[in-house]
Formats: sequence, C-alpha cells, structure tokens
Amino acid sequence: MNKFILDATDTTPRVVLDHLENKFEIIGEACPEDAKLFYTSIFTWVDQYKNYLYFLNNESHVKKNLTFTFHLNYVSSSALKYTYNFLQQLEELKPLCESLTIKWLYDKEDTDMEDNGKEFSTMVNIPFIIESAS
Amino acid sequence: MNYLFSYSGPISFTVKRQLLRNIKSNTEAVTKSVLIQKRIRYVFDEILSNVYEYYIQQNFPNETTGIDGYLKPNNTLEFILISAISEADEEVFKNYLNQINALDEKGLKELHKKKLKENNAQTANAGIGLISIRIKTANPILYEFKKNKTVNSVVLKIVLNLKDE
Repeated sequence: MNKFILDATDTTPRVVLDHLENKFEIIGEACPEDAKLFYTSIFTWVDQYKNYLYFLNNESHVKKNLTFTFHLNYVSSSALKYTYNFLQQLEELKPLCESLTIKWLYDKEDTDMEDNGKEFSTMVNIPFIIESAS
Repeated sequence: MNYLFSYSGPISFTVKRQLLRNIKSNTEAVTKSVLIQKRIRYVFDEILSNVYEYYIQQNFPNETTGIDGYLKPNNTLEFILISAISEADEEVFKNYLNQINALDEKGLKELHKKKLKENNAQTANAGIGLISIRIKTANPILYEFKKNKTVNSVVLKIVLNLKDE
C-alpha cells in the first residue's frame, strides 16, 4: 500500500498518513467545499491500512504503537461530522495494534477546539491526549 | 450602522467562496481574540453554507439572500440573515429553533453529540451548525417568518458577544 499525503489548502488540512514512517497527522483548516469527497479518500486509505495491519499481525505477529495527531485550527460542522466518522474508523484499528492514541492539539486560547477534543474523547473508545499546541 | 459586512444577492458557489474569504480577513479588524475571530467566521460560514445547500436542494438558484453583520455599542456583533424558505419547511424549522433555543448548555452539548452520531450526514449537518452557533454565542437564535407574493422568507438574528471569556 502507498502512504497518503495531501498538502494543505486554505480550506483543507495537511494530511499525512505514512505507515512506513509510522506518522499520522491532520493539521490545518478543515472546511472543505465538499467534505464527503475530501474525507472519502482518507477513509479508503484507513480501510487499506486496516487490511495491512491485519496482514502484519497474522504473518509476522507485529503489533504497532499508533498515534494519530490532530491539530485543527478551524472545523466546519460538516468536517466535524466526518472527523467523528474518521475517529470511529480508527477505533476499528485498535485490536490490530499494540496501542492506539489520539493526540488532539488546539491553538492556545481556542477553547472551542479543546471542547471538540473533549467531546470526541467521550464518543470513541480510544485514549486521547488533549493539549494546547503552544 | 457600523457594518462589518453586508451582502445581498444570489448565493452561488463562487459568491460563497469569496464571502468566506472576505470574512476571514475582516475578523482581525474586529478583535484580537483568536477565539472570537474564529467564532465570527464560524457563524458566518455555517449560515451561508446552510443557505447554499438548502437553495440547491430546493432549486432556488436565483433567490436573493441578505446577510449583514454589524457591530453594536454593547460589544456584540449582530448577524442578520434573510433567506428564502419553502412554506412546507417553516413549521419544522420553527420547531427546531424553538427546541435548541429552549436548551441550556448541557442540553445543547448532548444534542450536539447525538447529531454527530446520526448517520445521515446531509440532514445532520445543518442541525449541528445551528447547535454549535447556540453554544458559541450563548444566545438564542431569534427568527421571524415573512410571506410575500413570490416566496416566503425567514429572518434570523444571531448575536455574538465579542468579549473574550
């Protein structure tokens, strides 16, 4: 499988899903014109990664420690909903890895984004680290 | 009136994108608070996006939308939205606004969570946006329905406190 990297635009975040480097980050503004279209490619990659982890488990008995970092400085309501769907999908990786953590970073002062992280942490069964980015 | 922005006309994809870009740069002139800047942008973005999506759904491409934002002496920003609405949707929309206006912060957060969990992204999005606006502004969303010869309209008034918490 290939790593998945998207550069940031003024409405979409930088996305790094790099299983080779074990680096998973979503950073920037999330208010895409077509949220469904934007997130579909991410969901497809996670599906492939799930199969890849399953293969690693079975073939080489390797289990990874995974941390997905979110540092969003603006999220529209539609992107927020898809972010939740993304987190739900990540939850499915849990049995296939040694540990899975969400690192939720927010800009200093941005208590709304901090609240989003707190809300999500109660909605999925994944440990969250929620902290100010600065 | 001390207008921060004022627009009247149809909402096309291009207009929506340009208005959102304008508001992003305008907010820095209003407040130094990053949180409040983002809230101004969020309210504007959500109401505009909801109207845009609704007009596509209803096939209202040429209907005029008015959106004004003006600064009040009491350190608040008032958003006034005038948008077309089909008569069939008035009651549902009114009931939904009454429901979220009646909720306290805890109730709004519970409803927000419930809407996030809903499977139908299309119907849930508009609901999530309005709930978030209620949470971020801590003020009720005031509304009024108007009838005229060609199309009915709804006027929304949203008041955002510009003082940082």
